[in-house]
Amino acid sequence: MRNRLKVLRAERNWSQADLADKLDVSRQSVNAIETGKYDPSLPLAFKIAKVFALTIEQIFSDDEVAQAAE
Amino acid sequence: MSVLPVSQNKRRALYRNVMVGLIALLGVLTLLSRVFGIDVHLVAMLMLVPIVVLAPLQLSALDEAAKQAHFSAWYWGCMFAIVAIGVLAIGLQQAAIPFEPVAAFAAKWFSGVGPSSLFVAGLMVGPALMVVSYLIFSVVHWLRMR
Repeated sequence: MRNRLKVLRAERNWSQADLADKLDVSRQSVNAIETGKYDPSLPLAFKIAKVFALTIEQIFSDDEVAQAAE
Repeated sequence: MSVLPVSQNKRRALYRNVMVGLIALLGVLTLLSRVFGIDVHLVAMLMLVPIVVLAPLQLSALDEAAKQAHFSAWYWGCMFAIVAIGVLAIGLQQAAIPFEPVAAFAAKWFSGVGPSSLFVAGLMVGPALMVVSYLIFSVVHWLRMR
């Protein structure tokens, strides 16, 4: 799974800790999601989408689909 | 009005710090008991109550990634510990592992080598190995997630 979390966070000038507070998760979890080491559950993915006011598809994409698009 | 922090992250940190403090205190009590011969059994038993109460609260306050890490470390830690216990048990029974160091360990930490002390030692080895393996697998998981 790929995601644009780091870019979206940078656009808003948020630190990992800021985003972690908004999502009610630890900073380590935000880092693990950003680096692709952990895939969030559907409820957390919805929460992330809500925080960025985007849809899940605008943030997360399947590896194979992303590779095909490239 | 709740005295607990509203933020889930702060609540998580509070539970973790209290739990670490309680476990450290339990460790200190064990050392006091074993090294200086101070009887702390009743206090140690009473300390298990807040630990048992706090454990589900702490688990429910963990975020999903931390919860998954915890479950994964328990699974692999306990799996490893069960194998180690099996090897130890068979090794001791078949005399492939010398019994004297084990008896000396029991004598030092469980006040004697009588049947009851050895039984208590046997009871404690299982959970002790599980906790040690859990900690090792937690560290491995943490290093991989960094």
